[in-house]
Amino acid sequence: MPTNVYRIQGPEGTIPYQQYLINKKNTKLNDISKALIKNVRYDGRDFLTHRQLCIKTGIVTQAKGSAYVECGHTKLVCSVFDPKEVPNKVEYAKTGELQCEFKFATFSCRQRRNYMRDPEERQLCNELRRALEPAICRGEFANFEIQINVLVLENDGSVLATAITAAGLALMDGCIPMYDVIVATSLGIYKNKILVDPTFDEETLCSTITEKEENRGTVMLAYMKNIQQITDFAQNGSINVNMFPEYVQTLIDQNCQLYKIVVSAARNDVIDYFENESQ
Amino acid sequence: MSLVSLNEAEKVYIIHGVEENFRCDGRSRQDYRPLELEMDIVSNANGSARLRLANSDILVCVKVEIDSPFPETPKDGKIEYFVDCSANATPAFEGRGGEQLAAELSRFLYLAHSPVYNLSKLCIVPGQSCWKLFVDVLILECGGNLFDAVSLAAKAALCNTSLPNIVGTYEDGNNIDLQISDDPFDTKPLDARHLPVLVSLCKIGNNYVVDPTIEEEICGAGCIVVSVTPKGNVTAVLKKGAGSFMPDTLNEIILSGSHTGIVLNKALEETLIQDISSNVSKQQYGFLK
Repeated sequence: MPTNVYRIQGPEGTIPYQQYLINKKNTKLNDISKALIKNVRYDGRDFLTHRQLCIKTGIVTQAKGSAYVECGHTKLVCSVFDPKEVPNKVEYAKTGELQCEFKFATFSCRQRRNYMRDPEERQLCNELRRALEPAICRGEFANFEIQINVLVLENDGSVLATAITAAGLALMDGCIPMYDVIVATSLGIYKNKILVDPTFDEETLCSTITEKEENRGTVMLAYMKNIQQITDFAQNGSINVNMFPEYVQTLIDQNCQLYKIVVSAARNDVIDYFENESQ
Repeated sequence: MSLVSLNEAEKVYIIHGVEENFRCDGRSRQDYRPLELEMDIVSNANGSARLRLANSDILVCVKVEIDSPFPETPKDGKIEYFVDCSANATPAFEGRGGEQLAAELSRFLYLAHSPVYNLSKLCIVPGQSCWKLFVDVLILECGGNLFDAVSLAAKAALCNTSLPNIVGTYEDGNNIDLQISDDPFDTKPLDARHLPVLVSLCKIGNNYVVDPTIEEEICGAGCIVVSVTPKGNVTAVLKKGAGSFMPDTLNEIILSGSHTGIVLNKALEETLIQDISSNVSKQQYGFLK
């Protein structure tokens, strides 16, 4: 997706004023860390509880399929456009291509994001594409491409997992043939504790460097429940290799719960559609 | 990525070979191809290494410069990774062809290194000045398994890097004047021994292979890249390709990747020690073999 290079980027070298607050020490992270040692999460959730989800499909009228998902304070919009012919393509492709775009709105994070794509957005875009590729029946769109756009309005952790779930919903809403419903969850690992669906602060805490021998980091897994396939797996941090089976199992259990929510949302959409049609 | 194309019979041949634990080049599924490493071959860089993994040829140079730290992390230095896919490697990299691969490689290298590399070692004066490391990766030839080769070369180059010693600092109000020793041998080495290396495991049929060649990468259903520290901890995992995995297979692949990573780290460590000890009478090969 070409970006407009002539757009004014905003001043360079500005510093967020939060650096100069009187209470300069980052006490919030310390508070979260202390609470976690006492087995309490900062927002009062249980360690294995996912945040509340708000799902709404069909919100972008111009798109073939779309979804708006809120997961706690993380809010994002995903839209899917019809399969169309790939421009300037010479070779014949047996499988259809996915064209993904992952964008943080400039105001979505604590620090202002740039309008241009940064390396993190590129990476998230790749991950999104790889997570969705195995789920879509790409053989049905030989030589065509499907455009999937994700726009993050507010980032409060677990963005990629929420984006994959939203993209799955948008694809369903757009009636794109898929092998199964795709859902994704992420975990934060801090001092060997598993935090399901971490918030932004918890994610920051989990990505700090540790000199000690303890597990720390974030894990994300996208899953198709009925055919038991992991379509994407991403991890970052320092984690002992023997812990992976446990994390993978936790994530799969969480995804199975999420699956029920997503399927019931889709079922409601279908019921609404037929009710409207009969009227 | 590359211009290699295989027909069905060739693919079947490779897949059946992997099933029999006998790959086209005679390796078993867990074998690596021979590696060649040469250190310190670019005189203008603070550290450099050239690695040849069969036909993949990687040159990594590290340059250090002085910069001011980010306001949010005043006690940390900076490190930046740049990957350049030269069109010499494969015509597919011509123009903007290699851009996506390059962006992905540099980002994943950053993700793999950041959980274990303590940037506070690069601090000179907190909040005022710090060292900035530019890790420039140049892909000269592409023979498959670029992730592994790039990470090994980057680790070797960072181990080879040394920072000039700072003799003194003069403070005048907010301005800091650094006095840096002008003796090129008055340096202190950068400690990078604990950095991870990447191990790619490609799933072909029901099995997986380490160090896939280009042909095997084409046959594979999907690839998992695991970043492994010398102690065997995993710092990052990435999935490549369009395939998907069963949960048990994924766990098995990560475990196997960790074992391979420990061996690979050890081999690199031994080579680096050998390189340091034979530094006086070392024969330079450069780019001609």
